[in-house]
Amino acid sequence: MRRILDEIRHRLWVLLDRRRANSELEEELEHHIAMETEALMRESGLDRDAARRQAALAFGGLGAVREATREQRGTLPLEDLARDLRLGTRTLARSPRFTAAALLSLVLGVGATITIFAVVDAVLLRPLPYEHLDRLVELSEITPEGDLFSTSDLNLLDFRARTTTLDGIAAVAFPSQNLLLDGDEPVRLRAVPVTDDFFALLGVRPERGRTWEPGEVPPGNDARSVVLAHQTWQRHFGGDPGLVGDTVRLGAERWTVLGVLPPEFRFGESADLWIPYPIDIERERGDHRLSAYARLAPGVDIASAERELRDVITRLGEQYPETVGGWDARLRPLAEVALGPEARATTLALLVAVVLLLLLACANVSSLLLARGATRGDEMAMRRALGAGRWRLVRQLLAESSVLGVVGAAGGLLLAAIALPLVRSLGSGALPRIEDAALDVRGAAFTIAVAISASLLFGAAPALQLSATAPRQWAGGGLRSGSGVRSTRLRSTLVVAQLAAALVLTSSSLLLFDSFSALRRVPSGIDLDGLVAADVSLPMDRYGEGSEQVRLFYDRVLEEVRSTPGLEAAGATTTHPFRGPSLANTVARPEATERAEFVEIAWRSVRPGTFRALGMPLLRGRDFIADEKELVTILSASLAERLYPGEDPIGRQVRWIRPEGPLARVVGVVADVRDLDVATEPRPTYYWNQHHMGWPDLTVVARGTLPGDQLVRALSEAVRRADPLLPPPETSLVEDDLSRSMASPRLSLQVFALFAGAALATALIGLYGLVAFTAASRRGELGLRVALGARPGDVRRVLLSQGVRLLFVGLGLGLVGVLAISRLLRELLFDTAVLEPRVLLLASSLFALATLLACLLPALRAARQDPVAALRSE
Amino acid sequence: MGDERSEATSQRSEVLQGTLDLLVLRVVALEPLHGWAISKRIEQVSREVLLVQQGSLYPALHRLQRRGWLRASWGTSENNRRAKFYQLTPAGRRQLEHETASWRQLADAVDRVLEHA
Repeated sequence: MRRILDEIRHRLWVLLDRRRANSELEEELEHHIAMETEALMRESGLDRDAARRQAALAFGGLGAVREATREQRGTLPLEDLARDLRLGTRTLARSPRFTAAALLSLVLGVGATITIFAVVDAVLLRPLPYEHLDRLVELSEITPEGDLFSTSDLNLLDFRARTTTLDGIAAVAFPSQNLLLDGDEPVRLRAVPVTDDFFALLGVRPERGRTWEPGEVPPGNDARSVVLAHQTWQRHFGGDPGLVGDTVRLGAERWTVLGVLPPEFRFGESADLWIPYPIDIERERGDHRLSAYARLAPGVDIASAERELRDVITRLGEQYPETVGGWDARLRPLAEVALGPEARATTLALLVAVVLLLLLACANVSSLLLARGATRGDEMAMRRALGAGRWRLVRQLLAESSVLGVVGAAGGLLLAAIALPLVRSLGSGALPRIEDAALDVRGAAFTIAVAISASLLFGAAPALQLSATAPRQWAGGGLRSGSGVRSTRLRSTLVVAQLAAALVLTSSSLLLFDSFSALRRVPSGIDLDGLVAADVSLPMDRYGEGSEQVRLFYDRVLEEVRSTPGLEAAGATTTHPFRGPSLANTVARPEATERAEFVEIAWRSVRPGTFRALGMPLLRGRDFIADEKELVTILSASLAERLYPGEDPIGRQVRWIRPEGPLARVVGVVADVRDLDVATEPRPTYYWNQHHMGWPDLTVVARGTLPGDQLVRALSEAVRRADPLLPPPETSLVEDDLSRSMASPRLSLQVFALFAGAALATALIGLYGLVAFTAASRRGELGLRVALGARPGDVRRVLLSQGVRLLFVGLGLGLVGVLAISRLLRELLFDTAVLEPRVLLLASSLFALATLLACLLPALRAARQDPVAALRSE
Repeated sequence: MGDERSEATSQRSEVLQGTLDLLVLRVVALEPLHGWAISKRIEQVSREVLLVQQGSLYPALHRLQRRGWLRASWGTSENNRRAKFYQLTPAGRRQLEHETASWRQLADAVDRVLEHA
């Protein structure tokens, strides 16, 4: 025990007083030589100088003895670490260009990785804040045509009663309501009706107060109670804790505030507050208004629950052939539904890109270190000859690359801190939950992991190779060719990998660019020039569905708009262009007797003049008029062609919904439009006249000649003049709505372009480095060739052929890589064949050109050199 | 002596190493000596048969010191120079006895094999 204490004390002393310990060692060794010298002078009668020489010779390598003795002190690992780090920093500072290139690669790679990781973490990895998410499913019905559909009140009750594999089925009811909160400026709050067991099903615990108990709101109950979103409570009620249990005035009525949800709670579209939806047993079984969600009973898998549910709906179909016949049902994991397939594809693509870039950065730094390492062969051999151990050299080199790694990681972290807010604002709207993306502890842990693995990754290869240098090789001068060949092979492998990865990124981003510009060129069919739209929502207490007040209100609005200077055409529709909602139903020719004969269509209800305002040409017949005498419809060109192929549809009839449904006479045909998503084909569309289907919430559209922001203000004010009690409507330029609808492809494009640029640059730096290094290490040989009569062209050819070989291997591998990720890309691409040869050809030739340039520069320099000088340097 | 082995294997010549440690301990058991004197003493006593490599001597001295078997102090050598003197600690003395015993055992065993095999 005491021995151990002594030993620790000894080591500590040496460590703390290293300088003194070292000078004492010097003095001790010097003393030895002095004693020996005097002994020799005495015994052999040599003069002092000769004696001293002999003493020193007998002593052996002073440096080796010194090193060996210091090793025995047992403090070397720590001392060496400090010294290696200092030495590493000094060496790096001595070659600023190399250091800058390596650091830049690293900062970019690490920074991008952390940023994207934060995004992926927020979007993909962080679980939705629900209890036992793995057991939550979305319950959908499937129409006889095979489309996913919501469910109806009566079906929901039967599902609840007849299934045993589902622990509760809750629902969100359509449509949501707008409740007015009075104040200086009236505020419109979006209230989403949910069944009383909804929050219990999700397992959400309120931040304050409570939510409804399952069974608390039976059919017919019209309790006025609300649960507030945390943000609503903060923004509109000042976070008043006394609010819970109290009542608030919303619209014409007083509502009891039951509770406040936690801030992280989100579900589907944003809601300001939640109101109870009592199941309506009076509602027709065919009226599908509920989006249903269920929890699997413990130990039940989704497949067997779905089997049971399908049995139930099949039996319901036999019982109610009119409304449920031919329908099916399906369960999908809620986690998957909430994310959406596109967000998943985008995020995964980003992750692939960023991993590629990180690997590129590491390969590049490794390549740079290797190149420099090879030119330091002499130094290393010299160090070994002077007694440095092999592992001592490995350690020193690893320390050097660790310094790079740590500084690179710190820089990357800084870059990520700067980039994240940018990415958040770029990505909002394109990716769900991206606003949650933040650097956190896990992000920092991730950084450190990246820095360490990266520095080990690129530190190990050159270090091991270098230290294999035998001291003998240095003395013999054969070192350069000896270690050069192996290091060149390793570097060639790295460069090929870099080229392949960079090609994958470059062609991916070119494909995306191609796809995006194709998307931009697609005519939507709507004239965007000067088009502005305002979402109006009428409070239920003053404006009932289909009521005269609603019609009069919109009459007033359109009058106001038309009399506003600068605004011309005006109309109103159920669907805000490029925003929604998407409305669907089925129609057929009047003689249809089977549901199967009905076709799926999109439908909109519009005021007269709306087509003109949107710039949709009327192809046949007439527009709607204000007081239509009979039930009429206008069809889109594709729907007219579908129902009456090759015939004139004007005057013919179309049946709505089902075999006994209402009949409408066709009075016009309008051009097809992509009014929701330009990426998808226009759907056959059926237009109602607002005169017949009087919805309270419409989008007022107008076209004007004013500058954008004045247009928005003019329309908003015109709407408010029609009813000054209304809150200002949400108004936007339709052009902006369109570009927002393309936010996701644009984000992918920008990010990929960034990655591709970085990857290409990184790969080219690597290639340039390799060729330049080869040229330098073969300087003597090339000089000899020139001296023996080779022309500069021959020298260039020798060097270029190396680069070209690598280029071809890299291109080949890269194309294989593009093939491999093409499945992922297909989900992101619009209208572009994934392996479009044109794009790949472009990417490859761009690549070849850049590569040749990277090879040419050092080759030219090598060919110009003076052979005599080159030979002499050997 | 567990760490003795690992210590020894980290050096290249195991046997010589152990022997050198023993010799050093034995030589300084009589009086404090500095490095040069230790090597000279070993050479003299062994009648020049055993030559001490300086490359091994100083690492050995520092190792023994670290183990707590030797204590070092600065003093003045015979020619009036400042020199580092090593002397045996009580632990070092025990170690010397132990190592001497095992060396004798080993030498006897080798002798027996040489004579009777």
